[in-house]
Amino acid sequence: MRYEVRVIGSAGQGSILAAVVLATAAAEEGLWATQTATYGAAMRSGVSLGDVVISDQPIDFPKTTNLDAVIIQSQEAYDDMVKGKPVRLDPECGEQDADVLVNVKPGALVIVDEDLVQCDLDCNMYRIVEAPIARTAAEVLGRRQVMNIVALGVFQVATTLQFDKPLISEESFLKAIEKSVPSRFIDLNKNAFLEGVKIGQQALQKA
Amino acid sequence: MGTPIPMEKIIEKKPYFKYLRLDKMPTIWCPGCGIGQAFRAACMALDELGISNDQVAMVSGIGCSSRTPGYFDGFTLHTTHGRALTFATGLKLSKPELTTLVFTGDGDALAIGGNHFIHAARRNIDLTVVLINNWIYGMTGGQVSPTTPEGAYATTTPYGNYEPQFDIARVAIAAGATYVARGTAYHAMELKKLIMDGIKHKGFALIEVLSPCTIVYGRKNRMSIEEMYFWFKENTIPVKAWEKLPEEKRAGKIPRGVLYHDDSRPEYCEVYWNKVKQLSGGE
Amino acid sequence: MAKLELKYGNHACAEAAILAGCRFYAGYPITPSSEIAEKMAELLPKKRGVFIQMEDEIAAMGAVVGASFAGLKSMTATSGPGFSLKQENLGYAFMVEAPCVVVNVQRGGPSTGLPTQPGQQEIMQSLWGTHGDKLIPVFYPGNVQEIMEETIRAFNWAERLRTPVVLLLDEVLGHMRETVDVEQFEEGKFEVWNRKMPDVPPEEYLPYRPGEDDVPAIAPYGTPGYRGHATGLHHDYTGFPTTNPEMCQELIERLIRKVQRKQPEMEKNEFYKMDDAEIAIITFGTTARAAKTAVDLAREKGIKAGLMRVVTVWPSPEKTIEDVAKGVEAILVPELNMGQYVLEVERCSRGACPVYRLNRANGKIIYPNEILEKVEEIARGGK
Ligand SMILES: Cc1ncc(C[n+]2csc(CCOP(=O)(O)OP(=O)(O)O)c2C)c(N)n1
Ligand code: SF4
Ligand SMILES: [Mg+2]
Repeated sequence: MRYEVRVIGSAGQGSILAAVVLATAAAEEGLWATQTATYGAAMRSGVSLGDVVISDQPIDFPKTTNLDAVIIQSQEAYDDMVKGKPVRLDPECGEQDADVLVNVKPGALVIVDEDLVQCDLDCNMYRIVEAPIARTAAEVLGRRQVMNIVALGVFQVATTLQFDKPLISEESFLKAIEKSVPSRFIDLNKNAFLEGVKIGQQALQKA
Repeated sequence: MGTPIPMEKIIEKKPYFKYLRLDKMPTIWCPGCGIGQAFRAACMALDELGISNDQVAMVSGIGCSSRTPGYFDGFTLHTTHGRALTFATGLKLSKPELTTLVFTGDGDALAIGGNHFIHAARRNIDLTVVLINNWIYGMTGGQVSPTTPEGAYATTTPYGNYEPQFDIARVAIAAGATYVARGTAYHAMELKKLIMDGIKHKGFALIEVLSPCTIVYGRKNRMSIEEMYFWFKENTIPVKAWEKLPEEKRAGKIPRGVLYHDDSRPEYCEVYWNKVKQLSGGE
Repeated sequence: MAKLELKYGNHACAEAAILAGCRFYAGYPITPSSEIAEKMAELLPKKRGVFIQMEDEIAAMGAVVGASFAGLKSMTATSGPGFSLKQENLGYAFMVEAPCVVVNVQRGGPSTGLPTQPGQQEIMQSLWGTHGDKLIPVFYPGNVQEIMEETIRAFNWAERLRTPVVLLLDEVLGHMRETVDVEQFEEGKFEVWNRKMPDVPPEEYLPYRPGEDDVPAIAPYGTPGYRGHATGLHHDYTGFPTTNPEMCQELIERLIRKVQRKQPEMEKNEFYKMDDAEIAIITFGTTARAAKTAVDLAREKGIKAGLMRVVTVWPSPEKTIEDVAKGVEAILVPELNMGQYVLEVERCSRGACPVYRLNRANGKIIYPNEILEKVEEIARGGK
């Protein structure tokens, strides 16, 4: 099993931290993981991403090539992932197929923020989950900054669309949060994760 | 040839001989060269302070002056050109209990090693630096150095030197050295005292030693050994006297003695190891 | 079951150094290696070790050798431009036999190059960067787990042979997080070697008299009675300069021999599906990870590809490469440079099979499908 995930958003939305928490959760679960990031000039201004590869055995190639899941946190990040837009990851892609995501497998899980992202993907091609991620962070938790962790909650539930049970358990995520965020923010982030699980479940029922 | 005098007899008379690696002598230095005077002064200073061979490390770079550690019976490191202070920093920080002397030249310390010089001074690490200022690159045959006087001849200034000089003491003070002194190879006993105080001082101590490069600099500038030593006698004056001189009479005169001494600033190794004590929970 | 923990490559290097007994770090910040220094700054004071940020990489390398003479296991880490600056004092460390570890997290060069992107351009410089003849062990791990193993191994060999050891990483390895099976790094589960001490009384002590293993037992500076001299000049057993031609020749021969004779013990490679391979890929570090995936992809297409991943880059696994070359129809050497290690592979394979290259120096890594394409092309070429 090799499972590739990307968390992508605008700078400041904590995409890399979310990727680190996700990879740490995988390790807690007893799975192997790599987490890589793209830096510097290669990055289009404003967009930032964290990639995670998860496997039940040691990982050969550590970077992502064919994503099984994407968490998209903003419109510019969405645009960046869509074929035909000026994307950095695959300079060869052409103008056509405007609603196909680059380097994403058919059948992949696509998690988007329903308020922030105008998503025009073909739902026969992807398993799309739209949820009020940023709104939940702002209104329920009072901190918009934790939307990245809310998104991980949604992701945790949504993996049941691809597997019999969630790829990574809630407990592993909660432990990963304890290990990855400064101690004074642990409770906030745990709550954010659990709220994410809730809205994830609601979104799945809708879908 | 008479019978050799037994070592114990020599040490009885000249106790600083115990610091010499006599089997490595004669030294490579030319007749009349001032480096030997500075070396002797350093040995006498150590002896008077009662520091044993096993308590001293001596580090140097590359140059005639940097050959000194080879003749010193302690823990000695002859390193790369200009970098002596970096090796000495690593050694001293790891073994603060070792009295650590650095022998260096004007080119070694101020040209290639200028960056290390100002940073070691800035840190105020407890090193005693004996800087042999002979106004020239002696070892490589007499090229111009950052302290070659204006107008003087070197192999790379065949028409006379037109670059300004570093005032070593002022560089050291500005960079943060807490003990700065100047002596000469002519004023041997005074030099011993300056080095002694430098070793006693807890912090970065710089002793600039005006020293004749008799063969290379002397020849190029048509000065005999005697003339060079005489020049130091005539043109340097004790700092106390120098301070009393009116500005216009100071021109051409170089002050000798302790030019700067500040005991108030903390020493680097002490600061570091205190921090370690705090962090590793006492002891 | 494995005890998995996610670790950041550069931090793993620092943590493993501490496990190996490192108690002195001097460095100068440079991307993509700075996190090693930052981690050391955090860990060392708590372990009664020394951390110091020096004024440049030349100074850092000097301080490391100074501390090594004081008896501490010492390390510095840098990248491209800084590695160039360290070269003179690295040569000094080799000449005076000061054990130390120099980490180079490779980025794109030459010059300032591509500070935040990976390269594998110091394969040759690691060995030949400083002037004069020498043989320096160079290890290159391929994942974060191995960063820890190789850091410990680098310290062990440095101490055992009294030599600098270069540890090569690359930007991808240094800057990625990966699960590590930490069980293997629990106390007592890994070997730590220390330098040998003189076994003669002070009167008989000659710091540079080598033992049977060609390694001298130099006492840490400050050991009462065991005073000594060290110089970068050619020297005799006392450590004092000499120009005696026999002594000078013997010194250089011994310095190289002491490393070379341990080559079989130091050699470390990973072989993947090499048993029946017709096309062998030989490479290291991050590129080897892409190559491993490429081997699987090629086999899916019916091409018998295999991988030899080199971990001990120097001293060269000459014999092993020669044997590989004799057993396959072609070799491919993909690397993030314009063709460095391929020269060594060509030399060692002695014409037994054609050797192909896949090179790149633009900061982008080589992806598995690119290696696959090259392998397919070689397969199509009949040989
Ligand atoms: C990197 C390097 N550059 C140049 C040299 C050549 N070199 C040896 S000694 C020296 C100058 C020494 O001058 P100074 O420090 O004043 O010492 P002196 O010989 O005058 O005592 C030079 C340039 C060297 N050994 N290493
Ligand atoms: S060249 Fe000059 S400095 Fe060097 S030993 Fe001779 S006199 Fe002294
Ligand atoms: Mg000089």
